[in-house]
Amino acid sequence: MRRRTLKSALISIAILAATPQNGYSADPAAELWSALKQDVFGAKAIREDSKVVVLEAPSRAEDAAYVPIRIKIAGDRAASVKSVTLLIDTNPSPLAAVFRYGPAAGGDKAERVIETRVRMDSYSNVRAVAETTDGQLHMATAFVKASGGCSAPSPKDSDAGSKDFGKVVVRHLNGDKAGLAQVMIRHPNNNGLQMDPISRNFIPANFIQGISIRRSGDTFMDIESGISISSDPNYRFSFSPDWSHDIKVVARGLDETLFEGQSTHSATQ
Amino acid sequence: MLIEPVGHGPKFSRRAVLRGASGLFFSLAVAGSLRADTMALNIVEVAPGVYVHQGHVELQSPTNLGGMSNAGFVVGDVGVAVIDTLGSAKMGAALRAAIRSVTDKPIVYVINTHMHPDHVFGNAAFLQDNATFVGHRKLAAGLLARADSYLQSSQQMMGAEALQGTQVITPSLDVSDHHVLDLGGRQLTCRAQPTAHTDNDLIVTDSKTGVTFLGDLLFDTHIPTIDGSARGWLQTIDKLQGQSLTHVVPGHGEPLMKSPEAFNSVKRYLQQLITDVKQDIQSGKSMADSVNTAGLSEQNRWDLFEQYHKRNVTAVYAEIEWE
Repeated sequence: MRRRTLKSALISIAILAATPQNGYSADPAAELWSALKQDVFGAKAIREDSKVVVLEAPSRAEDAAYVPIRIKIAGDRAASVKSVTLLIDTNPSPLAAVFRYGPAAGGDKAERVIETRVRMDSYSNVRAVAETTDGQLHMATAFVKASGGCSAPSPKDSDAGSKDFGKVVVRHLNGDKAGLAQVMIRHPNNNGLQMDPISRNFIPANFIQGISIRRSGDTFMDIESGISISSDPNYRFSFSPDWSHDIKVVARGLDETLFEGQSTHSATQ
Repeated sequence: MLIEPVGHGPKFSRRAVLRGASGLFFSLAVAGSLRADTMALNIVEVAPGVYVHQGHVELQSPTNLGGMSNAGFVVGDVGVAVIDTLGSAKMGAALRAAIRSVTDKPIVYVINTHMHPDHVFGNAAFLQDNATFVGHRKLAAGLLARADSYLQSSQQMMGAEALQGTQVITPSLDVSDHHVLDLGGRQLTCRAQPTAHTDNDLIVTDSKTGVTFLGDLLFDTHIPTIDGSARGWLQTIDKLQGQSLTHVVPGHGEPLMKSPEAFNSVKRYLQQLITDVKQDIQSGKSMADSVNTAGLSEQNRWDLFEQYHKRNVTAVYAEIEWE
């Protein structure tokens, strides 16, 4: 139910982004954001607040098809953040992902980190909007210079495409004081904007639309993701170390195919 | 090299993407006179009948009109073959004028060593010769998939006027393994390579002088750019170093170098990048952090390091994190 809503939002936003509402605007960027904000969050107020959420992104992307994004949630607010929405204003589909924390996120006071890689179509503001349990919205914004990432062919080697398709790797990264894990999914995440050069038709969209991350059966995080996530979707997230390190991941493609993986080792290296 | 994606172009909406697909072959403006006569291109005869134009080691600009790569031509008894055509129809026309200053023989083949715009965007200047365009079997696919973005970024870097007459032209003769072109009295052997600098690299060897045009499988001065596979590139270099190549023409830098030693710098760069990135991945460092540290020992050894190195790290990281 909720997923359907997001999906239709994704589509309507895509149309909205491609259609200027009326001819002129004093500040097109502000106008774009205002329309996007209305579409995703309704009339709710959003506060820029680096005390709650911080967004790290390169000011100029090296490769617009792989722009690394890091979201940090302050430790003293971590337990109260229930979700983070990642937006890229000027992308054909601006709603990149929604990260929803579950009970297995724990209630500790460590800083929370989420990392992923996104495609960017043109210069844009990138935003992370954290929603706290009291319903308030807190935002961090970064401007990134990048272009062409949405139509970039993937992979670079056109013969390497199907190797390991659907493989899900879950790695624990340096489990020293705080837990940090990585989820890698071998999937082209076709966004419908890349051309098949032989047929000269657009490759149909088929992307990972949802990822469920569980620790010993309890939800750590559910991710709803769109076409702005780079091919071979890649996520890193921190987790409280005082919980099970047994992490299971189920990713769901647009065609409802499921891809599963789990961590094989405890958090030591 | 690879094209620089810079922003502030026309907004790239989904509709623009769709529109672009149907109009892929449009030339950016109606071709007026190419005014090749106003530009004299430097050329050097590196071996009897083998000529190389040495491009500037810099980014595309309204001044260089996309002339930042090496291009060459080989003159046979009955015809001429062009190897790469520079980065705009205007530069292609200048190259054609340089050929005409040397010989009146017909230009029968235009060979592209790979899909990058600084090597293929001058092709249109040779349409009038009715030449056969020759390339790796994967060149067309690679170029067409990127053509919109290449045209757009070239326009941003050089301006629309610089691109007047430029068209996206793909091979009429695809090379799957190797193909021999006869120029009369000498043959050019074109050999398709596995994925390295790109997935459509092709090398060209002249039978008479032994000179081999390597395209961007060999960089000199200009930092190598990775748009295929770093691992594959190293394997290809090993293979080529083991062959009896003597004199080679790199895609950027000096007009003529000696194999096998010519490859050493590119090899060292690629190996360093792979070693550093591999270590970063193993120690849990993310891509965003790895770009700031991996391969920095190479910083003072290449031109355009600032412009391309971090992107190379990104490409290597995405390539080897699945190993």
